[in-house]
Amino acid sequence: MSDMTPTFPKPKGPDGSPGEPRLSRRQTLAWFSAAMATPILGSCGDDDLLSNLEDGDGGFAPWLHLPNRNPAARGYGRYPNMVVPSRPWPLTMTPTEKQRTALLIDAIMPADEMGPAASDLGVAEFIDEWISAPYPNQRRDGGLITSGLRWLGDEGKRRYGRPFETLNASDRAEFVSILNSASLAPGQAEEGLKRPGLFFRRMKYLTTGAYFTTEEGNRALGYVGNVAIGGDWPGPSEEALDHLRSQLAELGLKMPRQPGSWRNG
Amino acid sequence: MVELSQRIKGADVVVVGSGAGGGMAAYALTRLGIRVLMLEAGRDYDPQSDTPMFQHQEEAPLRGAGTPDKVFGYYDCAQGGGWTVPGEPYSSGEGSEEFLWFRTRMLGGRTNHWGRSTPRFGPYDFIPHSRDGQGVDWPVDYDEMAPWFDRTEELCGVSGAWSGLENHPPSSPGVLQPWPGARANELFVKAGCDALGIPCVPHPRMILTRSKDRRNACFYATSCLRGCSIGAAFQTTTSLLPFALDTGYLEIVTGAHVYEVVTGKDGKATGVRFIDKTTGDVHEVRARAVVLAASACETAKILLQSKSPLHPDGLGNTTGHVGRHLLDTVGTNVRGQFPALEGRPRYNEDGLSTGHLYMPWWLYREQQRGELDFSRGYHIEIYGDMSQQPQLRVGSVTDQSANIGSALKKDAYNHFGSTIAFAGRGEMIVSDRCYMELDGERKDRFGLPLTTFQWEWSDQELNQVRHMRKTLGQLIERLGGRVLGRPWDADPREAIDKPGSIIHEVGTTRMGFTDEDSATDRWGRLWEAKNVLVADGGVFASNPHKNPTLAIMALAWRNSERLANDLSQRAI
Repeated sequence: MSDMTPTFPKPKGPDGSPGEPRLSRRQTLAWFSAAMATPILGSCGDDDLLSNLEDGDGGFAPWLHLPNRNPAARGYGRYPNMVVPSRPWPLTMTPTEKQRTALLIDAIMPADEMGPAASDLGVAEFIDEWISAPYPNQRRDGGLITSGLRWLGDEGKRRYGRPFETLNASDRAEFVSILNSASLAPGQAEEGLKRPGLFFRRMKYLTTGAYFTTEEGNRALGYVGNVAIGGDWPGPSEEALDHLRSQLAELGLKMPRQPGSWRNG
Repeated sequence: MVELSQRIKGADVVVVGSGAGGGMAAYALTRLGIRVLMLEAGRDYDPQSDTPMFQHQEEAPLRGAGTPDKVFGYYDCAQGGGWTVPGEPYSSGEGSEEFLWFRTRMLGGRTNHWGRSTPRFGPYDFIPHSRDGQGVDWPVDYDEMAPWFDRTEELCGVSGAWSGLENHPPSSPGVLQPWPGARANELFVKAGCDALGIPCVPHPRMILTRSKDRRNACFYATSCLRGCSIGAAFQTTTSLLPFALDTGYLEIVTGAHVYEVVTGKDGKATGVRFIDKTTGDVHEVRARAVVLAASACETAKILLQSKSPLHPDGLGNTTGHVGRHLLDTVGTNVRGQFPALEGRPRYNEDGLSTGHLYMPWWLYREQQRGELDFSRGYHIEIYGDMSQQPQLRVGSVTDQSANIGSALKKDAYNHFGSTIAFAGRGEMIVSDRCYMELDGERKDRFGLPLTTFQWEWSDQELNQVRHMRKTLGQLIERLGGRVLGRPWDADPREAIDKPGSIIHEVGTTRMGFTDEDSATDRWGRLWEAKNVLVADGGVFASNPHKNPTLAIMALAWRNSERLANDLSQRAI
């Protein structure tokens, strides 16, 4: 028996010489380094962190653990109407929570040349729907998010002398930037900013996900599907194939042929 | 409205379940003029009016995210169940891995929700014991099954193209419909596979690319998992059931929860008992034969519940094989993100909504030479993130992007289309440590015993998962990507999907050569009651990594024709 290493030929460069995989110079995104991202990946890690945090405000406004709402609400059941969808549970956000939510999500997804602001695409209502829903994941998020919205008010007062929703634009931007920094690795954030960091991290995920699942958000992503096509599937565009060809060349890989020659055995 | 008691009278054969096996049995029997009563535990479902074809994520509660009510999302067609069914719990035994049992409660069963992946079993897949000394061989071989695969592929409609690979036999000429071609991101994966010597070939799918009878060709939009109102993606509710109804020989009763096969003094089945879910009344149906196709574990449960003086341990269980030999598919997932695909040119990449290419097992020879530390094969499925409406999880770009505001929006644009989820799907080896049985104490809402599962992975499966993940780690690296989430070299015990979760559970009433080694004979009939046919995956003697649905239907067709012959010969 071998050491179960699959035996593959060594990668070759475009000229047939031995090559090594390499990152494209055209990499455009400033992703987290692996070292930074690893301990915080995934919501499971966040859940573990959240349940293991000690109480302690570190000089920041104290975090009040608010319960989730809608204890008696019911879900849509095992046979919901999929053709005409509806949501059976009531929304629960207070006017102040709605205000804070709208400001926060617009800082995450503002109006710009790619599309409108999150609050103009119903994302605040989505957050309300999410935290009011009677399912386990949403109930867990509900406690985190209502507590976080409360904390925004308290910490605003402590730091700037006024609650989050009445801050001027530059103070609010500074505040959100602190939150965003804490959210990148909440486990390593300052004492008193760990829970707010987790709260913002969850808001960032939900806001971004909800934004791009609207029709306008689909357009902002450049998604052009969900339309019926008559006849055969047209396949990738020439532009998409040209792009692929150039990327494969950079990786020292050959453009494969469409395996169409095997059509119909 | 005809009374239920009238509707259930006068059938030659009662078929339990309306999914792949039950749908095919009803089709095969009615076209031969046999009167069939089909009993389905779930609700009625009409794919024409009940399918959300283009409905937007934005319209669904929670943007369509999965919940315990709809585990694969609001629009997913698996209705009435999921990982749990209200009032019908199950458990995993002491010391067992947690087994997940996916059930639906709807007409058409789980054919309304599946990947439509239909690689054909090959010659090796029927003789696993002869090849590697483990498990058992099937009492049928490929040559005998090949025409049934052809007939099933032709009738149900499979698009694909032959790969030419070892143990991946071709369909007969003219059987397959045209394969649609690869997506850009799949050609990207293929380029990496070509460099590493891994085959990356057309994935056969039970999805029409040419219109056929009353069904339309795929129009390359909306996820197959929502169901398909135009009939392109196979479900029994748009094909086999309407075909069978057209004969005039099929009566379907929904909300009929069968719990027992009734036997006569000679030990043969005389019919079944079921609970009418709308009234709670118990009914008994009489028939000359019973076809069980309730899904492998439900069928075994019904048999174990069918106790009588002649069958004190349950019908068909005198030699103790019912509920044993439970198998699922070995699963693990590795997700890659590829800078080369960032911000790539947009085009409509929906296609069949599921993968067009895949990587079937390619190391048969190495395995035969003993060079690998596991004995059975696997395949890898490819799922890009631009082949259906963006889902809420598009938000996971925030795990990677430190930005907010317009910069985060640009990151999301560039990220979309740059991730690919790879699913390893492997063959496990039958084991005495994997089985299901009835719970001796606890009861469900009908007063029926609960099912308990027992499961333990062996080194075979764990070594296979290690190999899958290492292969994918190398592929992702060669393509200049990085692994998102769980690293490729994670402990296989952590990385292996939970048993049952691939929803390929089979083997609980396996076919064999004698009643000493199996519950059913080579025709899927119970050894001890030959007028009871098992037509679901329960009859599998092994579980090749190729998804089970095609083989379930091919066997159900073959074995139903044999049953029809038995009935006309009065052999049973």
